This record gives sequence, C-alpha cells and structure tokens, in this order.
Amino acid sequence: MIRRGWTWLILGLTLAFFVLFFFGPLFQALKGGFLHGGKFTPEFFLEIFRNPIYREGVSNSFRLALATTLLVAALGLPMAFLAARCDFPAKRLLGGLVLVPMVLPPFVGAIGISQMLGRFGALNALLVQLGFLDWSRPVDWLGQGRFWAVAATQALHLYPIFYLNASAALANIDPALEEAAENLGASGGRRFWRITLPLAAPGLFAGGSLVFIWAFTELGTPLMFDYTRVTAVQIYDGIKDIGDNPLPYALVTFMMITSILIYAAGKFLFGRQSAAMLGKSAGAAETRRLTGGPAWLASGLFLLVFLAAALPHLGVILTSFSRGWYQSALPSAWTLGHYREALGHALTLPSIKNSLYYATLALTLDMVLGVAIAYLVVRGNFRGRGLLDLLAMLPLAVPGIVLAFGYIAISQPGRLFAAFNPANNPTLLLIIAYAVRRLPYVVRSVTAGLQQTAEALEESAQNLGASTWHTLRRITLPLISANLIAGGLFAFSFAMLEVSDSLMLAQKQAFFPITKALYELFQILGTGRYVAAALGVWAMLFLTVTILAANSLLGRKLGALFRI
Amino acid sequence: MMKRLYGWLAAFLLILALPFLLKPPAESNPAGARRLVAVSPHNEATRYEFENAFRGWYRQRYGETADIEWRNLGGTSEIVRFIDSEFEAAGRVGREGIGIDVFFGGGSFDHARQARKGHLQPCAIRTRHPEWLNPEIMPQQFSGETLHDSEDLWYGCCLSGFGICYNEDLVRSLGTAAPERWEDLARPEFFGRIALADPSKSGSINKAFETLIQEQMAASAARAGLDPGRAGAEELAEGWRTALNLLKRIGANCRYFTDSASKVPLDVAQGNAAAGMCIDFYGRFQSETVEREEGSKRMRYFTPTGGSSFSADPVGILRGAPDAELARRFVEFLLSPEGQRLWNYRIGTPGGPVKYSLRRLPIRKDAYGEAGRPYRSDPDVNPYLQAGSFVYRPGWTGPMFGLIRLLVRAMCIDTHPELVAAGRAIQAAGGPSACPEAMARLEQLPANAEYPAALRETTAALGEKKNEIAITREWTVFFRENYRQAETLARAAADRRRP
Repeated sequence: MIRRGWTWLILGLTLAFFVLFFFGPLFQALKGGFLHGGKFTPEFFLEIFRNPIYREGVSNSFRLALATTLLVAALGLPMAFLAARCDFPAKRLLGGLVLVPMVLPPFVGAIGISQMLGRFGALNALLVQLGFLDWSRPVDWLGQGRFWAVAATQALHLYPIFYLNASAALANIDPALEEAAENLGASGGRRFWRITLPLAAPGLFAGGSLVFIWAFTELGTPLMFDYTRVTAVQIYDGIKDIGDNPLPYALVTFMMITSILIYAAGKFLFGRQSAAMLGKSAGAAETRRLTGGPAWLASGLFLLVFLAAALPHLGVILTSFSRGWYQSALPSAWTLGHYREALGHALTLPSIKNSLYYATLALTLDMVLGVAIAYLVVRGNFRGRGLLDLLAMLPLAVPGIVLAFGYIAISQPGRLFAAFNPANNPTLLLIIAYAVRRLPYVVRSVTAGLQQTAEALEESAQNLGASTWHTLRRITLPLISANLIAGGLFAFSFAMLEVSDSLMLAQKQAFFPITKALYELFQILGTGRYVAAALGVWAMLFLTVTILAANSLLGRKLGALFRI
Repeated sequence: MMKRLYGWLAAFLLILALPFLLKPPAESNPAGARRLVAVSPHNEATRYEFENAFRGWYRQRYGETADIEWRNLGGTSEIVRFIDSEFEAAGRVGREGIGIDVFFGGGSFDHARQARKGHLQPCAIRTRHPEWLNPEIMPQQFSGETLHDSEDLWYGCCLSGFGICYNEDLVRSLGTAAPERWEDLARPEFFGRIALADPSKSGSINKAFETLIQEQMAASAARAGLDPGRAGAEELAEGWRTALNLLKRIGANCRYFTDSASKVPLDVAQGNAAAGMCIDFYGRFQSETVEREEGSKRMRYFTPTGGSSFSADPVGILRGAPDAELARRFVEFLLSPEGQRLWNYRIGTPGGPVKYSLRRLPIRKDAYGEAGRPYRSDPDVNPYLQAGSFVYRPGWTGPMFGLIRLLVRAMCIDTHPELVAAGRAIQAAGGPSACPEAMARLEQLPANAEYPAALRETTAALGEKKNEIAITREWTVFFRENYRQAETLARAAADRRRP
C-alpha cells in the first residue's frame, strides 16, 4: 500500500509535468482552432460534423483502426501463446526476428515498400520471371484494395506491440493455476479460454489499446497507399495548407477526444477484469515440445510473419547496395559507395551521438514517470485514478508536429521556458518531447504488470518492515521486470526513430538526431534515397544489436520474454 | 552466456565504430568570425555550396571571415509558421527581431506574405547595385510572376518551373504517345497513372495551375478568332470552364496529389506512375541519375511549350536581423555573378560548386550568356526564352489566386475518390462520347464558381475565414454529389449498351 503523502507528492509531480509539458504546449498549438479575430469560436470544431468529408474521415479512421487491431490480435495472440507455451524448431531465432518492425527507420521505409511492391518492382519482376505475369499488365499492388492494404501493412508494422505485451502477460501467469485447471479436467481449449486468456487480459488490453490508437491516428501508411480520407491525413493536409487553415487544430482536438472515448469504452468493455496472482512464474513456464506437423506449422507461422513484416526492410537493404533497381527481382548493379557517403557524411556521427543521448535520457524519464503513473493508477486509492490513466494515453493521439509547434511556443522570449528555446539548444525539449510521446507504452505495459501482480506480496514486505521505496525496489519492480523491459524497448526504439519533433526542434546541425540526418540525406537530389537507405540500414543494424545486446546484459528476464 | 554477451558487445562496437572510421576531417570555424543566421528549406547540397562559396567571397572581398549558422526546420510551411509565431512572441516582449538574419528559399508567395506582415527589411540592392535591376539583368516581372519586391524587401535568387516527366517504358506499354502538353495528361490511357503536385500546399504549384487556366482562356479567345488581349467575357468564361474540366479529367486520371517534391519524379522513374507534374530541377536530376547509374534513358523531363510558369526562389532579410550588414552582403553575394554561377555550373568548373551539382536556374538573365555556356549543366535551358511565348494577364485570374487553390482542392483533392470512380465508370461505359449525360454531370460547376461575375463576389467573400470554410464545404458537397451521379449515369449507359 502506498502512503497517502507519497500518493499526493507523486500525483502532484506527475500532473505538474503534464500541465507544463503536454497541456501547456498543446494549448498553445491548438488555440488557433478555436479563435477567430482573437475571440473564441466553436465554428471550426463544428465544421467537422457539418462537412461530410471530415465525418467520413473519422469513420474510415475508426474502421481502419478496428481492422488493424483485429488483424494484429489474430497474428500476435497465437504467436505469443506459441512462444510462451511451446517449443518448436528455430524458436529462439524466430522469436527475435519477429521483432524487426520495431527497427524500421522513417522515410526509407516507404522506399523499401515501393521497391518491392511497385508496378515495376521486385515482386512483379519475380512473377514475370516465373511466368505468372506479363510486363504489359503489371499488378498495381499499392493501388488496389487500399483499405485492406493499409490495414494489413499497419498490422505487420504494429503486431510487435501486441505480441510483446501479450508475451509479458503470459510470462506473468502463475503456471500452477493452469496446472490446477488441467488437474480438474479442463481441456486445452477450455483452459485457454477460461484460465489463460482472462489472466492475460491486462496485457492483451494494453497491447490492443496501443495498437488501436496508433492505427486510429496513423499518417504514414495511409499516405503511402494514397488512402487520404482519414483524419490523420486531413490534419496533415490542413497543417501544410498555405492558407492558414484553422481546421487541422480543431481536428486534432476532436481526434484526441475520440481516442480517449474509444480507449475508455475499450477499458470499460475489456480492460476492467484483472486477476492478480500471488504466485509468479519463477522462470520460463513449462513448455510443450511440438513435433511433426504442428512444430513446422508453428515455425512456419513465425517465418511467414517475419518475411511479410521484413519486406520493407529487405527493400531498404537492397536499395542501399544498389545502383539501379527497375523491372528486376534484385538490383541490376551493386555498390558500397552509398555506405561510404552516408557514414562518412559530416552530419552522421554527431547525429548518432545525439540520438543515443536523447533516447537514453527520454527512456529514463519515461521509466520514472511510467512506473509512478502506473503505480498510482493500480495501487493508489484516490478518486480520479481512471482519469490519470486516460491522461497518460493522450500523447498517443496528438501528432508530433502539433506538439512540436507547442514546444516552440512555450519557449519563446517572455514565456516560462524561454531559457530552453530550441534555437539555442533543443536538448531538454527534445528529451521531454520524446519522453512525452512514448510515455503511454511504458504506462500501459507497467500497468498490465501491476494488475497481474498481487498487492498482498508488497503488503507482506511492508508488514515485515520494508519501506515503500525498499518494497518497490526489491519486490514490485522485479516482479514486473518483463513489462518494464517491453515498455522500455518501445520507448527507446521509437525515441531513436522519432521524426516530427526532431525535424522542428533540432534546428542547428550540432543538435541533429539521426532521423533528421536521414531526412537531410534523403533530400539530396539523385542519390539521396540510396544514401538515406544506407544510413537507414545502419540504424536498423544498430537498434537490432542494441536490443540483442540488452538481452544478453539483462539475461533471463528478457530471454523469458522473447524466448531467445 | 558470457561468450554470447561478448559476441553481441563486439558486434555493437563494430557497428558503432563504422561512422567513426569514415568520419570526415572536421572543418574548423575560426574564432571571431562574423556569423550569419539563416533559416532555409534548401537541401543540404545547396546549403553546403553556398556556405562554402560565401566564405571565400567574403574573405576575398572584406578580408575577414564569415560563417553561416543554418536553422533547419523542415519545409517552407513549417518555416513560415515558425517565423510568424516568433515575431508574434517578439512583439509581446517588445523585441525587434527573432534572432535570425535571413530567410533563404521558399516561394515568392511566402516572401510576399512576410513582406506584407512587416517581417522583412530592405536588402539595399536598390542603393548598392541599381544596375542589377535593369530589366535585361533582373526583370521585376516575368510571365506573370514577381521576381523581386518593388520595395527592396526580397529578391528571387533562382527560378524554378513545373514541367512534365514521364516514363517511356510505361507510356510505350500503354500503347500511347508520349505527352507533349498539359492536356495530354487527361488522356484515358493514363487512367490511374498520373502523379500531380498539390496546389493547396505551395504557392508555386498553385501558380502553375493558374498558368494552365490562363493558357486555356487564351486558347478559347484564339478559337473565337480573337487576339487574347481582346478576349471578351464570353470567351474567358468558356476558357475558364474548359480549364476546370481539363483539371477534372487530369484529376480523374491522377493517382495522388503530393506536397513532396521528390515523390513524383521518383515514382515516374520507377514506373509507379506513367507521367507527372514536377519541379524542373527534380525532373532533370532524376532523369540524369537514372541514365548515369543505370544506363537507361527511360525517364524524360520537359517543360511544355506555352502555359509553363516559372517562379522565383527568393531571399529576404528579416526585421531586427542580428547582423543586418552581413545579411545585406549575403544577399549581394547571392545576386552577384559569383553567387549565380553556383546554381547551374557543373562541379569543378571555374566558380562552380565543389561537391554537389545543383541543376537550378539562376535569376539573372546575363547568367545565360555564351561565356558560361561550356560550364553550365543545362546549357540549352533558358527560362526567359522558354516561357517567353506565354503572356500572363493579371486581370484575368490574378485576384483569384486563393480561390483557384480552394476550388482545385474541393474539385479534385478532397473529392478525389468520387472523381476517380466517376472517371472509371465513364471509361468502362465506352468513354465520354458514349455517356454524354454522365459527362455533363461531371462537368457541372457551382453557380458561385462561374466566371467572371460570381467569382468576383466569391473572391470577396473568401476574405473571411468562416466564409472560406463554408464555401469550400459547399463546393465539396456539390462536386461529390455530381461525381456520384455521373458514376451512376455512366453505369446506366454501360448497362444500356450491353447486349
């Protein structure tokens, strides 16, 4: 049980952080959507309901998010279950490989997809070579069935969020409970539906809600497939409009409110039930060794998901070595020159150092804040805990560029944070921006872990004389370490790959993070995309090795989570 | 366990070491150098070449060193918003400037707006180099575009135009001829294979659309046997409607409208689109890259004769610039023969760029002379000759610049799915001649978008933000409904034709 004084102190600090670094900047950025001639007006907000294009945009975004979440659950749940409960050929390798979508850098991902799926791209070239297709009638993979193409691509990008949260939830389940059900005669399917699934519910809800809101607010994938009638694209178009359009700011407000209502409804319907367990799985739970057909089916599922999800990565890798790639399954000429140019560019090395610095500090901030918020939400006993939970999800629904404009506004001369004006040094604001935008991943993950852990364990420690801090350090955090690692990995990876905040806030070359260096290289005429692809491959390698090296350093806990 | 850990750590260090091993030697910035703070959407290549050349020019001319501190905030729209909001904040605390000397790049539309808002100060070209303002060197107007401000507040440094790029392989496989004029992009063979730039996100692109409209108005006058200068309201109204219907037909063929300058030429080069509208230097550069790297001539770029507009890429000195004198010298350098050479000279030529070829078109007319011809990347390109045949008439559409943007958005971009569906149904029915009712419905215009009387009132009403939003919504609903009906009518016509 957390002491009352501590509750108010942590709550006060958390709220202060949100007011200063989320609501303050957001208010500055969004007020244009509610002001006309210096006076408040609801007109622009009401336009969303009056204009059928915006209404349809909201409806399409919702349908897209729903389809994506269902596809993600259909992929992620069986994979997480197989990883947690079964042994199959090449499991360790495949379990690590399926996390590849987490390391895809921005800008170059679209090149990868276009090289693979374009009209004269690799897939069609392969089909032509195999005699299934004629170049006079190439398949337009990117221009057909756009709704499902967007949903499937988003699902292949986002399933690790669900997979990792589900894996953490399954790792937290006390195997004794499942054994008890088995002893009482529950069959495999019945045991899964009646015992395993309800016990893992907090983790599934955590993953599902993150995926849903991400897909609801996603910009890049719909843009890539030219599926433009969705709210996120309408916001982007409005912000880029040369006519000082106030509608995107009203739309952002609407998207935030809608996201939160959807999340609250989801929580009401699916996220309330939680069963805390006194016993914890002390190590890897008993796994069943699959043989024959089922074993190969399990490996096949992982391999298939990996191959599909890694298609853009493969496109980026091949592009980075290519001097030309057109109407052929593989590049027609190869070179290492793009790597020399990318890694030897004056922007590259400082940007790598900066990104590591920003992402590490943002991760630390996220861990402290995330644990504090999750702890208050799950263990606190004050009114408004649910509201705090909703609050922590809000950053997911705000486009990065809107928040970046807000940060610039609060650091202007005469404002509270004038000393941190990014024109001088953006370090502090960048770290805060990264931390705010990725906080929901840590909060959701840790909340799920705490919901699955019995409070009685902490109470026992405190009854034996341990202080709150000591209990947190020695009991609570070790019990939820799998969740901490899952949330932390997302926070770190996504901070390393953060785009919109970086483009706006890092104005001087000395402070560029790696994503801004990628953007700058991408802009170079002619060879820009090849050079950007080379730096993108380096970033992918670096993130992959960082995750795997962290695995080795952290040892068993991460291994238990990924089964690698 | 430890073995694996060491293995990963070794891999980690190896990957991290690569950029250290390939690190270029650090460039030293001498202490005490004067520093120019510049905000710019220009790419790294342009920034590198101009910084390098300005340093040399400044040292030689003034005997001291000067550096440029670049502020990169992404594209022009982000920069403009940033400047506006910084000046607003500066006003609140009684400061004159925003700590930035120059705004280098963007479009003349954006610089003219900054000038109107009082964010720019004179560049002193008028007093220091009045000889440069000779129309034979730097004309103030050209094909309807203002190339520099009459109050000395901003100056175009180079020109960019919009042209057509196309993929020869794809065009051939579609069994059609290569496009030659803007109208060709409306051919039914190109259905789903055209890529266009988005006029709602760039003043220069909007200008290109306006030019296309004016070209149709002039053609309408010619059809009536009139000199364009003598065209009456009837011919102009007919030309206006023809132009908008042409834009609808191109829009129906179009795969997307984009604000990314590189997307169209890349998609065309890769065959994802057969043809598209793109900025000249992107088109030329992509075409050259494909030829150099792959030995293929499949990607072509050209500026269509007549109806092509060129717009200026300017520089302006911001009010309260920390080092206004250095900023004035920088503008002087950009407009000097030395600065102008960088835009189109090849790498390594005397006075040319040292690392990147920029392939852009200088603003000074005398930069296209014979003396520099052997050194220029595009010796045969001269925008002042190419666009010379087109006469822009500000009285025709000038006041409707904003209206055109909103109308194209409502007509082609916001209603794009319905427009494409209608276009597909009309083609399936056998083309426009097989379903005239559907075509008539597709070509309907709202009463307040008819030329010229209604447009005058609509243009005036658009000055109010609330009206702008209501009118745009009204147009969107109108076009959407008409496109849906056109699709239904085309389907009915197709059903009737079936045996």
